[in-house]
Amino acid sequence: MLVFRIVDPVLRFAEPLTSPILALGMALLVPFLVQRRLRPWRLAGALLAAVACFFVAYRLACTRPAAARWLAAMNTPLAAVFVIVIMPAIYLPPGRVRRAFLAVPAVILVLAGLSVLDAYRSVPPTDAGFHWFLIRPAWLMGGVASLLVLVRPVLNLARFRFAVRLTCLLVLVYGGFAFRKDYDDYRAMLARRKQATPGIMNVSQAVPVLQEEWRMTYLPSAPCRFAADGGYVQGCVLEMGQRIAQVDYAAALRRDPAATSALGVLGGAAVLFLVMCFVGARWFCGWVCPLSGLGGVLDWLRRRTGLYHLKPRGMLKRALMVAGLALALSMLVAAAAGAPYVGGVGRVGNYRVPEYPFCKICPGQQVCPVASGGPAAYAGLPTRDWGYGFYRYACLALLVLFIFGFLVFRRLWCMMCPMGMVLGIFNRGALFRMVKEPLKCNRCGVCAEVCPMGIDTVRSEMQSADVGTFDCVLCMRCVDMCPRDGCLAVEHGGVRVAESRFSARR
Amino acid sequence: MSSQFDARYRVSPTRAETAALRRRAEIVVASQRESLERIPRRPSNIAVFERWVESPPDDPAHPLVGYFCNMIPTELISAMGARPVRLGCGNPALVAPGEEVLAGEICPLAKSSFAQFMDAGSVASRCRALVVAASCDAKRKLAEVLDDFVPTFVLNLPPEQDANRYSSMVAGELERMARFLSDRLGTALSRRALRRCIDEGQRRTGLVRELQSVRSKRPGVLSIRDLFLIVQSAWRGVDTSAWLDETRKVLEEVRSCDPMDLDLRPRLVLTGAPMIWPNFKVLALIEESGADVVADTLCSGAQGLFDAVVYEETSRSALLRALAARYIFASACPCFISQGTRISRVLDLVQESGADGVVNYGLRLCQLFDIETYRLQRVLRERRIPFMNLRTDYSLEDTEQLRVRFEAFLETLGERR
Repeated sequence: MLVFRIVDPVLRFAEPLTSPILALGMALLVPFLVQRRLRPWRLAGALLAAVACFFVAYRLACTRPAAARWLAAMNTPLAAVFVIVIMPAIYLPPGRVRRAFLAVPAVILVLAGLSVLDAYRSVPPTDAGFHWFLIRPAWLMGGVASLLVLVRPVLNLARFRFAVRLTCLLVLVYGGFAFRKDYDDYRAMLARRKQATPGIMNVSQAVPVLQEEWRMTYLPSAPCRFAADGGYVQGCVLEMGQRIAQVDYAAALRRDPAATSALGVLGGAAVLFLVMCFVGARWFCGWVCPLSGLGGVLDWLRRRTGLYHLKPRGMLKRALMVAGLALALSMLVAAAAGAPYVGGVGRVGNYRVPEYPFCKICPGQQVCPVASGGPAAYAGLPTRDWGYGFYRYACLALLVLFIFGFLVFRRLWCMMCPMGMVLGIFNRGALFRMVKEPLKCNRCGVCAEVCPMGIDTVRSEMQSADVGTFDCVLCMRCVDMCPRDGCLAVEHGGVRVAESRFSARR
Repeated sequence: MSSQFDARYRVSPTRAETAALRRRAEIVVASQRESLERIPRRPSNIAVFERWVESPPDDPAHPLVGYFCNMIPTELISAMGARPVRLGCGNPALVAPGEEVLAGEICPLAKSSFAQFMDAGSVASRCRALVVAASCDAKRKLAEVLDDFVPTFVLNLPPEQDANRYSSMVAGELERMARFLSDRLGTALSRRALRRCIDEGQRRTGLVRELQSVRSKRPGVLSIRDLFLIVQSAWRGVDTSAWLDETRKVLEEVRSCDPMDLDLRPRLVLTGAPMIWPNFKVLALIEESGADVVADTLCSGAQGLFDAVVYEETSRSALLRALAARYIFASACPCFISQGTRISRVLDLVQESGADGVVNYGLRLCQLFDIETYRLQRVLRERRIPFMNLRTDYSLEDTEQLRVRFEAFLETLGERR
């Protein structure tokens, strides 16, 4: 298609935009400049100059092959989407400029649609028909983000969050089926579907996830790679952690090519992960995580019945946190100790250890396949011969906790999720900030009442303006429900992205 | 349900000579109406509100349920098919008859409210049931007296506004109140009806907030006395949708009103004890002396409808908790241990409305408001916000004396401006 003959070279030229280093730089620079209240044209000039400098530096670094490899391992279309689509949507002042900017996501959305049509041209005439969406990851990420940015002005906060969660759930759990990068990839996925045989400890690992070239994108929430047909992104960060634990560092020190390459890919993914943590903190838990999205269905069921939920007490919260940390650490150690793996099986002493020990007890691996592939995709429980039956019973216990945590409590599971804990570290001091104007607070406690994480400090804090906490998943329910205008707000890089406004909600 | 009071010691209700009582009360109302007519700019449909505030529309399908205090969730009453009528009384003519039966050293609000019940034909006596918040000693004990007249329920309040600690307790008390009403009215509380009433209440709050924000910019467009009349009529057994329609008309009128030169007058925030129709003595005094009340924290004023019930979940206990959050935990009533809510509200209103000073209305014999004045006064002084305490009762005798003091206060404001 003619459009792509123009667009593709432009994208190739714009490759430095996909670097998370640029995304991080922009995420730091833009709030800094916005708070200085520069004139708009000066601000634009400064940003363009910064981007131009980065382009030159990036190209210069790429003249060295080793640096080029390391830089490329980090790159992801997500970073470019963040810089081009999401950041302007947050930081542009509301008004004419922001409305004019909406042309950018509109163009990207159209191009993403055209790219699907373009991909259909490679389908042989004999197979003509509907093959879902053949779309490259970059266009999908750009298209989804653009769509959400475009619908934001017409939706209130609660509906917008629902739209984001639903979209993320669909893409991350069902995306492996509905979005393939081209027709060959689609055919390969269908072929795998037919030959897959159940067997929880090995088979699902063979399901490759959709990835671009040789770089990996891990979102800092829990898209499970064990979803039927592979998830759309690599998997969750804990899977990345297990892979990092399994790298043969001795070989890497000897400059063994396989080990250094694995280390490079994982190092790139880890840097990207940290950048995303800094930018989004636990916002990912509240808005993106598909596991909590599935749990949200259970929560919705309870609400329909008219039953009230249980509230977690401090003791329970702390116990869950300790349990989650202990499980995650011990499973990482097991992952490292079990190497080398032969056919997905490692050994610690006389006992077999699966390649991804945490995945084998994680409820995500039980829930996501069923959610995406129906009951037939359920692989069953691990047999007793794995780790003295530990995997069988831990898996069961956590599954029960997961269901119970969303059905009877609101988000009890999220209090022991190790990924959430990593993100929680960035809840304060990074870009997101929960703020309160204590003078406007009437202490009604609605914020504590609606909080899915059972946080009470937003209500009780009467001195400081900063009410961010480790647990907060930035779902912004408290901000949305607070009946006092301007009492609660969420800031990103010092710019208000949400503020309590009673009249706006009704 | 067993009664909260000891049935063995019930006594027959004490009645008074009705005709004389009514005549005296009506004279006060008429004189207040006359004073309202001197307001230069009034909404064209204000007569409707004047009628409503006096007596609720007769409607056999919806029995009346009386209540005292803004801490009673009226949504709960209307959800059970009844019409809530706030019975706090501001009529000075009823103070003396009440005092004759009760005692002297009780606040005039309690005495006059009680006297309403001595008239067997009054709105108060027409109520099928009565709900009283135990917000002060007078109300707590009055409830037992009133139970002889109309079946009464006392809503227990937590000592502290700590939602974390007392939310379940209050929800339990509200559940009990619903059972009491259900016994008296023969209807059951349904989640759907409660939600409908809460949504209606949210619309009411939205409207009051809009009125308030227009007034706060240009107080000349609507007198504070008319605003109080409009707000207080909402509590007098009026169908909420009818009230919403009429108030929307007021809002439209007020919006299209061109600014008056009166807007240069000193702007004040009013706080303190309730001022209930027809006890608009202090309001009239403020306006006639050339100042405007741009915002208030009175439970009988705009503040009384300012807070909204918001709910996320729709289970019965979640809805009751939502009621508790707004009516109990967000209340600025001095009956709770900390007075932080009211002080914050005053400071916020001063900031928001750009007020020149704060007037505190102290009702004589109300210790709670009296003692709170200590901290309020000092906090405001620390922040260099002019403050005046007007302590008075229902009688009109001290009006001129108050006027002199108040005008002196306005002069000090003029020097600052």
